[in-house]
Amino acid sequence: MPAWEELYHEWRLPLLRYVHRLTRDPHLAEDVTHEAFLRLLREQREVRDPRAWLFRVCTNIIRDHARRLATEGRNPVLPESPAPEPPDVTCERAEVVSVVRSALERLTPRDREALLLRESGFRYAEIAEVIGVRKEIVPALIARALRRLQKSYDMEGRDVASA
Amino acid sequence: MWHPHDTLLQAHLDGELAPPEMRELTRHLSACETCRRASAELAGLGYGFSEMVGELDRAEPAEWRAAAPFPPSLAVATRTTGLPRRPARVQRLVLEHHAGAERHGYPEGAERPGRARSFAAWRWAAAALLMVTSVAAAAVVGGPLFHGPRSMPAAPAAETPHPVAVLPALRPAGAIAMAAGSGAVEVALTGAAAGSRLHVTIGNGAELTVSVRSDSASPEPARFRTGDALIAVGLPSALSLVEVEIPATTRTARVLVDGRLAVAVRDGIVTPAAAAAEGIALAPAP
Repeated sequence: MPAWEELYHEWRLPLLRYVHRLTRDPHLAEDVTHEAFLRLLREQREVRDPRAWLFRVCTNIIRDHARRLATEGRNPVLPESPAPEPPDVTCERAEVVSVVRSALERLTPRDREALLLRESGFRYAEIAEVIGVRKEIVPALIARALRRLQKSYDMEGRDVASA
Repeated sequence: MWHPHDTLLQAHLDGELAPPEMRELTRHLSACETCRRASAELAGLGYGFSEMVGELDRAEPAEWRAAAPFPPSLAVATRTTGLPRRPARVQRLVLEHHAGAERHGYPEGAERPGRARSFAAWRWAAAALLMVTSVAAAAVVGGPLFHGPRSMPAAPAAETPHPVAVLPALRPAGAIAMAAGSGAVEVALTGAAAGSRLHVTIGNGAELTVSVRSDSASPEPARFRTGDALIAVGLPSALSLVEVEIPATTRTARVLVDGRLAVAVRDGIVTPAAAAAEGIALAPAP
């Protein structure tokens, strides 16, 4: 199998998941992921770490998208086309998902990105490279984001540690 | 008395401290209950976040987990950008795969199954010819366009198309403590969908071995060594059980299946990511 296809099959789902977790918009996730692979294929310079490169491109596309929406006066954190809940999803689960989404929306974009990249298996040096910060501040971002999530959950009367 | 801030505690939990700092903080935590509680609280928030993410993932389209053909629009783009050139080590692994190797890890110096040898002979010749043609074509197109990752072995693609399979959600089976001096703890992930991608990140900065073994495909585990890096392995096609062997000296590790956290190791405790009620089970290997 050609290298491009191996890369695609390797990172397609983790990228889709990452973008979906960031935006809660499956259509946007598909578009952004496809665009990232397209850009990689067109990249003329050496790409030493395609995984980090792809995640960085996705992160930047989403940031650009949010900035554009904000300029147009539209809410950048709400998905334009949120996925409808599957018919078998119980009301309780839908409520949990709604609470999770609200909690994530209260984080700054950078905190959200750092947390979700860590969740995707990235090390601090890689997270720093993807979101464009110094490696030293990554643990601070993560710890602060987790504490803020706890506060958001407290506001909903829930406990993150027993989510 | 000095007490570490959240930042240091978080880096300790994620295995990101240098060994001297790690030792010093571990010593402090063993003596300071306040900081131990703070660390446990942060760890709990981390686990809770994984749960939250698991809930979000339930809302993703089910078809994402199915085998996806390489999109025509990207195939067109590959024809216009030329052939990638990869480091020699990765090229050799690609050749091994095309030669009909049945194991899907990256054994270094491991024996191949005997029954694949005769089939392997002509495949090696064909793959070598393909490689020579590729190198010649790359020289014509001009310049290295792409370098594969140096520290991350690329997961081999399955010879057959990925089957349509829904990645089951994870079922908690309780925390499994690593026994000191046991050498290794095997964590069995049963029910992993064929074609799923297993990723392991190790955070203790030490070189260790991760092996992925199938219950039926081959009796010998596929082992490979890595430093502090990401290991990616494609799961074999006919598989019902994957055992991930993580040495007992590991302080932190994360095992992800298709980008979703399956197992987290923190401070030597193996904990499954608890999300849904059915699917991948986690249990100590027999």
